[in-house]
Amino acid sequence: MTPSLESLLSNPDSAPFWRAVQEERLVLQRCARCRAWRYYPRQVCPHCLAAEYQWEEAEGRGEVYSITTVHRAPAGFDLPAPYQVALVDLVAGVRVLGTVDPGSVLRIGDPVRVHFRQTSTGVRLPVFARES
Amino acid sequence: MKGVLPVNARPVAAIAGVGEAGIGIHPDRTALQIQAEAAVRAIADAGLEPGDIDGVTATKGGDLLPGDRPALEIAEYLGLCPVFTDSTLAGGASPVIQIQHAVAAIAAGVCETVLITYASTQASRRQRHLGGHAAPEDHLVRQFDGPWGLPMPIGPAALAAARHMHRYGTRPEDLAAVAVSGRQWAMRNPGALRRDPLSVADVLASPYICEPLHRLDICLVTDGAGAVVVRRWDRVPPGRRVSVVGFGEAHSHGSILGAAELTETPAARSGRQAFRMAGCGPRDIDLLQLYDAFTILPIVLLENLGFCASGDGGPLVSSGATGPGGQLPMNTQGGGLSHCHPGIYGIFLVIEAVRQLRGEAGDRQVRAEQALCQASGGGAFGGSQATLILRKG
Repeated sequence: MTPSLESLLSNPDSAPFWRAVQEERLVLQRCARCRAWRYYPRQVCPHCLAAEYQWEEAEGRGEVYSITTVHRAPAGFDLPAPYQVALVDLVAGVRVLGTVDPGSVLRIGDPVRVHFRQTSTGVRLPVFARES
Repeated sequence: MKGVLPVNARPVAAIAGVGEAGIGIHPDRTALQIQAEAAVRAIADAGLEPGDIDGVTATKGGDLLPGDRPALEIAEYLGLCPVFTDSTLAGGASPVIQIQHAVAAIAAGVCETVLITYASTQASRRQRHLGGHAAPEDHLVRQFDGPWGLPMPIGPAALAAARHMHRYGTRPEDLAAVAVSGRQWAMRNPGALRRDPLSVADVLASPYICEPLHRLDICLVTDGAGAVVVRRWDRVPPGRRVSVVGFGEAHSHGSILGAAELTETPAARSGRQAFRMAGCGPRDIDLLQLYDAFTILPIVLLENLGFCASGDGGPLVSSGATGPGGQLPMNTQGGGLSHCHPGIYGIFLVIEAVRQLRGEAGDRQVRAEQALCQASGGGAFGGSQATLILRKG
């Protein structure tokens, strides 16, 4: 379940996102026509169907929309249960799913910041931590 | 034009036969075997011959292999050559969506008698082969919902439950009440797999899987097959006929990332469409068959369909309204939490509704003229919804 770098770079829709994550940068697509941010990345704007877009640095701040504590980790995940997984609304207006930094215990409504962690395979992944 | 089928006109189609097979854990049987057995039972229950069947549908869930064509596979196994097929893949909602598509095809005059089937031996296969079918590494959505350690499909349901508790103050006891209600009915159903007494305390004492969901907040994992025969209304003898009087489907998202508000599924849209077609509303429904893969789901569906206000679903179930003796009997066979759950449950909601409306439900019989079946599915917690309203006669 914890992916390899090769696998994350294998889809042209998402490779720029994951490449930036390896540099500890958060980039999102922004539609050139209607200016909406979108996630997960794709070739077409899900709001106006325009094909033109740019990758832009996104502010890694947001708020917990929902959260669960996982007690039975799926096969192949590199962290031991229990840990939290959250849906977070970033200030850009997109909702992202991610693991919570094991050092944080979060609740719905908490402000969070995106950090990056190195997994057991050496791949970097985004992770949420409490915004202090 | 909106609403091809006029409100309150003579129905287009009726359910003529139902059948089940292979419910439990049966490592010695294949999915095709129990699928065929359920189909043969449904055809016999309808009093028909194989030559009467001119439409075939089927779906698969986790069993789906690359190259699979579910409807064609079972059609050939049974020696059928249909002029209408459907292999719609929408998770748990698929069989009910396929019933709706069959009725629309019958209304268009391209077929008369459609066999809708489902089967899975996911439970006994899992016992033999660990793990399912892994997605290829470049699967776009898996890259964005997969790396975080969130179990599927339980994780999205847990996130929906947490959101519901935050918005409305729904309590763990309210979720548990859904499981308790279903078990009370299952205790009256010899065909249910879980029939031992269950209390709210029992549910809360079972281990957490993904908070706030305990193990007993989550449906069973079993094998099973179900089949339904839908026929042009004027060709079904009135004695055991169950008419399809309203239906609708609606989809809002495929992955958890596409859901706008987890407590608001497209059941509101599919329900409105079905009620409009049937010319009735929630107060005209005597029996509810609501998908219960997780205890939070019937609570959300009661609200989204308009059986209570948003946020009141938990207290409604905790009041006993959905259990034996209550004014809104729900999942009278025990549901996915107590009857069975072979990956996809939608067809079993319909089979029980038919048995109740025919008066064939034995110790769990309720007085019902109209039933509403709500099948939920898709990729993550309720993104696909299908509403089916059935009427006795």
